[in-house]
Amino acid sequence: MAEPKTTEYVVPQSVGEAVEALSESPKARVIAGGTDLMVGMREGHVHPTRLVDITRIQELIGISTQNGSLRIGAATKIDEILHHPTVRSEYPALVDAGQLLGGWQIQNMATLAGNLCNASPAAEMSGPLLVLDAEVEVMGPSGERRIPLGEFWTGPGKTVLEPAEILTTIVIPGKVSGRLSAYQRVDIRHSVDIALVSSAVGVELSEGKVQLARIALGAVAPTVIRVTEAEAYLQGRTLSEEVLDKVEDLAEAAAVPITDVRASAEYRSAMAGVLARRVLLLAAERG
Amino acid sequence: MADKELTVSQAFRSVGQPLSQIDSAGKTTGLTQYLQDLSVPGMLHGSIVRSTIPHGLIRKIDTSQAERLPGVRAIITAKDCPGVLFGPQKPEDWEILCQDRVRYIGDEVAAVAATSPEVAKEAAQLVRIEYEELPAVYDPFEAMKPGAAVLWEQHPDNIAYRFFIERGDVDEALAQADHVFEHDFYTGRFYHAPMEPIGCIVQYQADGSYTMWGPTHVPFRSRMTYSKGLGVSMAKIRIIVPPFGGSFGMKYELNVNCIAAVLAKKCGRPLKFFYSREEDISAGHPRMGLHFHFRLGINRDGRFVGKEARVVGTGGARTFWTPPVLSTACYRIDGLYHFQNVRTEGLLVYTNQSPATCFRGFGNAEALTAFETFIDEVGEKIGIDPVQLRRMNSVKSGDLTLHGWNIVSCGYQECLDRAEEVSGFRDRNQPPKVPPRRVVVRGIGLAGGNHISGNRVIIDEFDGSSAQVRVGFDGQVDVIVGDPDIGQGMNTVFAQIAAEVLGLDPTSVRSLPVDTLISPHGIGTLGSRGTTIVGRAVQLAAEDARAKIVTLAAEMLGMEPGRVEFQGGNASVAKDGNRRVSMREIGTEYSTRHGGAYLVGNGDFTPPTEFPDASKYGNLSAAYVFGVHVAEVEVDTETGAVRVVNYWAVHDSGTVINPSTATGQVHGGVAQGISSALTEEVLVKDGLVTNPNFLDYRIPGFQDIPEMHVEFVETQDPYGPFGAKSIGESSLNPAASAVCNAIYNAVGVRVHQTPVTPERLWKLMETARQGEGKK
Repeated sequence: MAEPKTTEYVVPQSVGEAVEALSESPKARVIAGGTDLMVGMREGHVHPTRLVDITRIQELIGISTQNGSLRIGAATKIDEILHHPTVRSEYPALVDAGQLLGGWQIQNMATLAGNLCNASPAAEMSGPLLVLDAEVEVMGPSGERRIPLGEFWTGPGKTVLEPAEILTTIVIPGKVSGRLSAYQRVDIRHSVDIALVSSAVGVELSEGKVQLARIALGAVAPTVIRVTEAEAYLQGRTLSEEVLDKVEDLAEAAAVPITDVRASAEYRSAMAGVLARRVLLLAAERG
Repeated sequence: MADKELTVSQAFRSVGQPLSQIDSAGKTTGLTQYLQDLSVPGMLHGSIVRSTIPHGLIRKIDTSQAERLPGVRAIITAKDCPGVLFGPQKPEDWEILCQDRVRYIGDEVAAVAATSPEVAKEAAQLVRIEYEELPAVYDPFEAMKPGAAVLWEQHPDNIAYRFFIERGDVDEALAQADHVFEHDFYTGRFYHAPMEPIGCIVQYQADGSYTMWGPTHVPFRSRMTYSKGLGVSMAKIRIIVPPFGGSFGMKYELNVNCIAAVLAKKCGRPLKFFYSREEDISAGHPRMGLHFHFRLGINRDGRFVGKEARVVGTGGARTFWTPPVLSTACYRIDGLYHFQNVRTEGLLVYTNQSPATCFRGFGNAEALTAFETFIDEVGEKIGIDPVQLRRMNSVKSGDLTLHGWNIVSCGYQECLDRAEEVSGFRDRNQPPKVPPRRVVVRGIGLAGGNHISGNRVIIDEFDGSSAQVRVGFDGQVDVIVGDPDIGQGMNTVFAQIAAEVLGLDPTSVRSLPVDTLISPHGIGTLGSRGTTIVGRAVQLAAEDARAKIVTLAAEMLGMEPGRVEFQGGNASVAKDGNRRVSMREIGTEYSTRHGGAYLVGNGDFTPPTEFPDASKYGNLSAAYVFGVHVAEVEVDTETGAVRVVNYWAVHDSGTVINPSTATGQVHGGVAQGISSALTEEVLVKDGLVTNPNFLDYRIPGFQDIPEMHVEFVETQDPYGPFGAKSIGESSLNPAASAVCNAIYNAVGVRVHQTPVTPERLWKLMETARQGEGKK
């Protein structure tokens, strides 16, 4: 057991201090809500030398609108997002997903950035943000950069974040309207559970015809994925039974799931289709 | 039953009152001290070094690295233990620590005492064990085949225990029957999920004795088991039972107490073990998986004429309470229906998994899950309403069953009637021929069940209980029994019984915790015997105390004993009621006259049960209980997700002493039953538990459990206190089959395995649709 006996805990007051604190300690980890990290530490999967608590950094807390885009600070709790009037009226998929994330206690602690950085392919908030073309702002020792969310994850638990980089802000640019968006998952327990498969859909309709569609699937690939074939197919079409059947087939085909303790690959693939179809209809009905 | 309108409870003051549990204030405010809250001065913390392989010979144990870790105080292996095989049931196959061989992932090889739980756990990971791996076997049918890996040389066929019962001529009956139907069902490995995992504190004393703190249903029987394992007399073991953080059958005898005893003696310090949730699920002792195969002979008119059954249990690597659980799974149902001719073989099979043990329902919940889904199917096939089928074949008050069980009172028919009426079950839709697509459909299902109130056969020694009801110098009335409240509210019921007899406010009566140094020898809280058998002893003890109080009060008041009556905590006089003596005055007077002694009422009750003969004939229980459940479900026909949206439960538990706690028992039993039907299963792959946490082992939350409508049909039974019978286990028994039958009614597919997870139901529906497509 070469593992450290103790873990240092630091509470920086600014993003700069946080980056510095991370740089000093090679096995340091950012902690916000801790709802994934603390479980991982208790189970012995991660052994940070230092925890850098970002929840006291004022610039990382809260939700603001700026030129039609929505900016969510990294340390903003899921519960705060759930109750934000703009989120509620403009981005219903985020509300769908946030309400399913853990239970109330988890929603009071967990942050949106934490959910994204944990990089679980089953993460609730990833799909909805992906279909809204969200981007993340990152600060590190070599400065700031902005990454489209679709390029953020590289595999289960893996992101493009460099050592000592911090995700500071999630930006929803507003280029895709979120009004007709929705999220659902297939699960086993109706109380606290994790997605066996999830789907998020954002759609823009004009006189019944699809102007733009975004379909995401969770827990069917190493990262949350977009079903671009179905998105392209939907362009200009009405949501007839035939079109929905085709979307279901395309989503099922796009899924490349594994079999694990939660579900078989066969079931996950079938549910990917079922959910994509179902969530597309649900999103469209919100018009 | 004729004078049912004149309900018994109206004549009572305390019995029949819906009181909250008398210890609920502590439990809801956090003041109750559970095992995890307790510590003993100087206490160390223990951790068990567990096998990481499913089967193998131990070649070498190296503790040197662990010993060097700061904070480690002692490490023990089998060489520190007496080395005798022992256990709570036959075959006795426990070792305190594995001597030369491990038989499941989690088997106990060594143990560490350290200054903190963290250091103990770290040290446990530093103990290096070299194994020579052996082939392992997990499926009971594979395990019984020649050439399979053998777990115990004494049992070359891997059969730990075999049950057999036969009455009448089954072969002839099935040959003559108008119809013979067959049915297979498997109920999965099911974890008790108490909020408090397994644990204990053990202290070694200078006189060579051990004091053990920890929840157990059977403290006195635990002494017997541990005394053999530790090689000391029963009197050298004292067990103190703190408030339970849940058990549901899990916390009977537990080997960790013996491990802790050896370790505590070695390091000369008291010691606490407390399992993590992961340890509790993966290395603990769940309900075993049971395979049922039934053949049922039935005549055109619906009469059962014969039943043949085979029940195979996946017992795991050692024997806990699985033999009587298997027996119960084999024949308890014969006390619900008259099968006329029966033959059942039960096989308990060793496999390389953690040893299973008993679970609320004790095999009967599983058997009913299998059989009540079968009846539903049989009724449909022969065109007789399944409720009518149950009515025609069920036992009734006054019946003597095939195995000699006296069904003194039986409210099953009334339960069926009432459940049908309140739930609207009669007006149900026909199930669809093929599962429909892209809809959420509703379905409704009904199932019945029975249970016992005490079980003569599972404890060799006796079936009775004793109690004391005492009044102290201060007038405080205490109830003392040897059978612990396991969280279900027994102590509240005992207080109500004593209060009824003595005219007291039940909240003023205390039921004392069980401590084997002080309490009378009790066989334990098992077999749903608490209210009926222990409760009757409490009633008799209270009556004995009452007689002594009457004599004393009459003397103090200067009048005839026959004129003394009890009211509001006082003994008073009937005719000139202004003259009274209080319980306080009585206690003080008695104590003063007798050098401080308590006024003690003694009671003991042995029900008229019979230890079964060699053919297993004999009346098993003081009283038999019945219940009928109706579940209404919504099934998502695309995903297979099932949601229970309505629930009705009607029970015959005799006189209900406390409607609040009895209803609470039904709520809990139904919740467990629903999740045993839908979500909960310990998943094991190559001997390794793959879902040892509450994310992937899914106990129900509020959103998974519907509002329940609970009713009682009160029968009159002579043996329990004021006519009371049991409720603890019967509350769970019909639930899973009611849900399975509702699923059939919704989508038209039969399930033959629980839990029916969304994926399993999806596959069944897809198969049914493909079958239909081929026609």
